[in-house]
Amino acid sequence: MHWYWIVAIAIGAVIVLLAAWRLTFRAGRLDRLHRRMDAAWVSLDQALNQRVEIAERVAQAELPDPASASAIKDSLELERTVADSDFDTRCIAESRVTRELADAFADEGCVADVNDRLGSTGLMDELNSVTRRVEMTRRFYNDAVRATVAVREQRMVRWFHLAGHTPWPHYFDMADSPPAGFGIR
Amino acid sequence: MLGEPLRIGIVCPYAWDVPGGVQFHIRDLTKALTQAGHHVGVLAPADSNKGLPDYVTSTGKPIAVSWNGSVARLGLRRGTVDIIKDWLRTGDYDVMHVHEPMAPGVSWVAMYAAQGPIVATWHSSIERSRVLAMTEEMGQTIMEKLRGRIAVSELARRTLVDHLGGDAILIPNGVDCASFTKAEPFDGWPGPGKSLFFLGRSDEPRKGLPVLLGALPEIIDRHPDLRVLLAGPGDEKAVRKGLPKDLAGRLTFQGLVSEEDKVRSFHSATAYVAPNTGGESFGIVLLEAMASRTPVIASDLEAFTRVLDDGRAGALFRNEDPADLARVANELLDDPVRRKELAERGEKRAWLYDWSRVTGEIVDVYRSVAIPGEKVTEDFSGMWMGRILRRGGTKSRRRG
Repeated sequence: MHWYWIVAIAIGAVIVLLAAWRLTFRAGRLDRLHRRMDAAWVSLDQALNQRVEIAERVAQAELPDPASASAIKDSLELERTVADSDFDTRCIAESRVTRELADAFADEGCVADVNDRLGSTGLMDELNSVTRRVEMTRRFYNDAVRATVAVREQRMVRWFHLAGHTPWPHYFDMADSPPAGFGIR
Repeated sequence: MLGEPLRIGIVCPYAWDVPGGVQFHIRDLTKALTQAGHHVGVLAPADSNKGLPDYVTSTGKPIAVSWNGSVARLGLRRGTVDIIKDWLRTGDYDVMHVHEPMAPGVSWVAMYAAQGPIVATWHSSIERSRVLAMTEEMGQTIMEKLRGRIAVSELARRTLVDHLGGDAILIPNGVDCASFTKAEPFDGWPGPGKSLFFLGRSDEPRKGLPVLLGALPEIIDRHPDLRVLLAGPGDEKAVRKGLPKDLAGRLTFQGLVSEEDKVRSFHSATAYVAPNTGGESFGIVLLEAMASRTPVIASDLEAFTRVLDDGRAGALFRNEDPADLARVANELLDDPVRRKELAERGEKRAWLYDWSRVTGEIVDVYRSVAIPGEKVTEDFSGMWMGRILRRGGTKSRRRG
């Protein structure tokens, strides 16, 4: 064998090794992103479920305005029926819960009213915290989706099927602002 | 949020024994978290282990690196990865909270070496060119580990959005209100002739001392025995030069003051004046004055207007307008009822920004990323770079 064949094979081997290293690096990065997205979804799902549970107790706690109590109950009913169906339907149902809560606690007076009736701020504190957590976890989840999509759209990832059979990530689009009655933040 | 107490590992990229905003932030946050029943461990570089609080683990002596317009002293050296992994193992943390993740050093390595629930806080704004490394795959991979991102100001938030895309939760710095409530005024202050307090560099025009000096003659016309207390670095002679004698004689310069003297200064003043003309993203000093029950007079910058609740918790004047400052100051100095009212409303408002409250929001972020049963662990894919930084690690640990 001629010496230049040996050199060519050596160069070829280095290129293949480098390419393989890049590919495994990218695959590892993608895997990490998927795991982050899964974790973010677990948190968002958990926050949404806790919100339903707390909103349920709020609706039963004799709100000053009975109409808003029944509106919240209706939205929770809808949420429960569609919770296990597809993403988009659930987004709509969760947005409705957000809206009904926002209507019921549009200003600080409503919150204070409920606190007076219950003789403690416990339930309102829980609602305040859970609505904030819904907002955060959704933002974190969508951030994770955005980062994952950015990598999955890369040519190297598509050509070499680095994502395997993992389904394409979906943003969770819903209204998530906490009720205004909970103050400046 | 109610729930189990958390184990939180906080990473500080800057030397713990050098005073700085990030270090103070972490110290106050740690105090508030501990008070709320959580367990906190802090990882930071430090010159020596002497005098370090129990909760701080040192990564060794920091190395000076030029960074973001100043010399940063970062604790990155051989053996750092080993120390971080030990810290993670013994800490058994539910969440790791990295500060200033774009500053090269311990924060980078910690994010690199760990996996699991990790969040980060952006404190300052950084020019794009300085974080070029972040656009490389390695840098991005590190940043992509963050499950939650916090910015302390709109400016810091913009930095991270510009560099990395996506979004962040805005949680401002807290104020340790309780430490401002009580203090002994300096002897003879504020005095029957009343007094104003200014805090900031005298040679930095954006802090607005020229605006205050421009307004003084008119204020003195109405309040002939008024005195002005000043604190902050800068050349006293340069300020006095060019001022009429009568005016210069009313100024008392303290230079750079200790935390304790700052609180005493607030209590020595009839009103605190913040004539800043720009560049303020938050206005933490205003809140400190308010927590001291000292009425505030401030320029109507966006950040100040927000902190002062549109003028309900403090008096606002038109930015860069000495005549308007004089008018507002004269009204306030004439009206003890209004001063009392502003002091009360100001104090109430300052408590909205107290660390206890801010900490509640940060804990909400922790709970948003923590998953029961999951811990922060070593990232084994980090072994490759780890091996380079690990060489000779044990030795340097003994030295540190």
